Amino acid sequence: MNVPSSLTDYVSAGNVFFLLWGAVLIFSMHAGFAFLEAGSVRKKNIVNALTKIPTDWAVSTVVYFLIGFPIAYGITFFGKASDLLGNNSGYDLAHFFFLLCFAAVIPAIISGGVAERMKFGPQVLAGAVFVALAYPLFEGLVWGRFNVLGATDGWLAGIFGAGFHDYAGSVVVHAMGGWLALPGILLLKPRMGRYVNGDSRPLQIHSVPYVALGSWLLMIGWFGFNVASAATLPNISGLVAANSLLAMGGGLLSAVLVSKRDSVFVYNGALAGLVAVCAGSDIMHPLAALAVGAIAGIIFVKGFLWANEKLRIDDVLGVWPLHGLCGAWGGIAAGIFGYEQLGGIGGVSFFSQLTGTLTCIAIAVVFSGVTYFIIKKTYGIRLSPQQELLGSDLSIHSGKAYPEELI
Amino acid sequence: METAKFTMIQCVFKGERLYDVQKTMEDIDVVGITIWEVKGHGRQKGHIEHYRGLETKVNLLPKLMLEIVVPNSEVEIIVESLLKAARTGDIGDGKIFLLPVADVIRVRTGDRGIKAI
Repeated sequence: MNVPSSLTDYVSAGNVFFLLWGAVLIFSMHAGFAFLEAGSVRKKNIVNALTKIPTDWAVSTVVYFLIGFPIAYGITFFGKASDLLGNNSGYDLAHFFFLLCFAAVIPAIISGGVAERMKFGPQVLAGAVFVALAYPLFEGLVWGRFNVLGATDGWLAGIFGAGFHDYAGSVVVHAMGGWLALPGILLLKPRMGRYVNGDSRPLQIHSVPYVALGSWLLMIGWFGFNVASAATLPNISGLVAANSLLAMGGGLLSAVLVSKRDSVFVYNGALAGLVAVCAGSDIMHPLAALAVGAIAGIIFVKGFLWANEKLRIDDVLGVWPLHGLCGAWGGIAAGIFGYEQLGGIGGVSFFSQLTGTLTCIAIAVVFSGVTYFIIKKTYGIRLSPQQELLGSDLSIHSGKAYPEELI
Repeated sequence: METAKFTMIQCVFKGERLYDVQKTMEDIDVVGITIWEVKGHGRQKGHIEHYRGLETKVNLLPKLMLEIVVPNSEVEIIVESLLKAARTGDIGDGKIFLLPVADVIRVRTGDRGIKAI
């Protein structure tokens, strides 16, 4: 074996290892989604939350392998296994795993908004449709093979001088998930007993420790989400890690201040900061990231109360404010703090960021509205009142979270 | 002993009616209430649950029980309000029991009778 070829081998192996390191970290975020939802629902819906998330994950794996990834990147996996491995240690497959972890975030986000009242099958089906079609379509426009929004020589770059920049998915993943969830939440209507005769009656969450655990898992995994978005080892950036840290700190601290130390808001504030920093994490100054995160924390706290108390949208985990609003803010913020004049690295356009973000919202709302509307009119999306009162644990899974306590 | 002047009203009802039951009691000026978390069954006798494929028959279902002691003269109006507040119309809405109470005594002062309520 001569030296150059062995070096090439190490380079491919290093890239594959790097992507898998990120993928496994993001995989742990799905445990975070599961526990965040399990803690944020009432006792009678814990099993449902803990069953939906892994089911959605498995369905996403299959549909993204067969349909989604090929749509976004034009790479299929139908050849011989030896061809799939190729001479680069199976980089395409590792890349698929890594991007699946992003794609599968979509149903995990939606799950938290439609919790406690949705039928199981429609939830899984809608998630599959989004991961197979809606998400890869927009992903392909920004990161993939369609030269439209993201590419440096794409259509949008031709108009505004720079393409739509979304490094780790504030918009591609989070805004997409949050805005896909919104029509579903609206068509589903609020949970029974949430708004009665004009009164808002908060339905209490059952476990702050579960919410905390879920949030910690998400926070830790997020560093794979952002840092490994470099895609290859030579592109790794300490700036991305530092920016993620500062945005998380900013979101957490602003939530501490604005919510007057409300624990569940504090944990979500950290996530809001992380959602918002994804897009510009590779081009902003760490102090700008701190500001972006801090603003996201305020957007979440105020947005959650506005959506749930004022607009009376019963978004159980606040996924629309958290992912939809903070994600959109992240996309736009990259087009503000990315400029060199504000300490950034440059190469962005505010109007490209705005256009990309609005395109995402439009695709998500239309796609989701049509999908949920069709399912609602044909099979139905909501549990019967009796099933909802009994709880989705008993009515869907015929078992509760703590069977030993049955007497 | 003379005839009881007070009645204990026990009302077993579904947990999701708690807000309305409590609000009704406030609206008709029932000053003190006790709520128990109870388990039991009526004619329906529960349902089946599954864990790792194993069937478990659950015949005790969780309910709430309101307990209040009131002068006999107020019993009918309270029962009427409770029927409205606790009813969903489905099986398992619960029961109301009326029990005679010999006397009421306030622990702090030793007051008896109507003054102690």
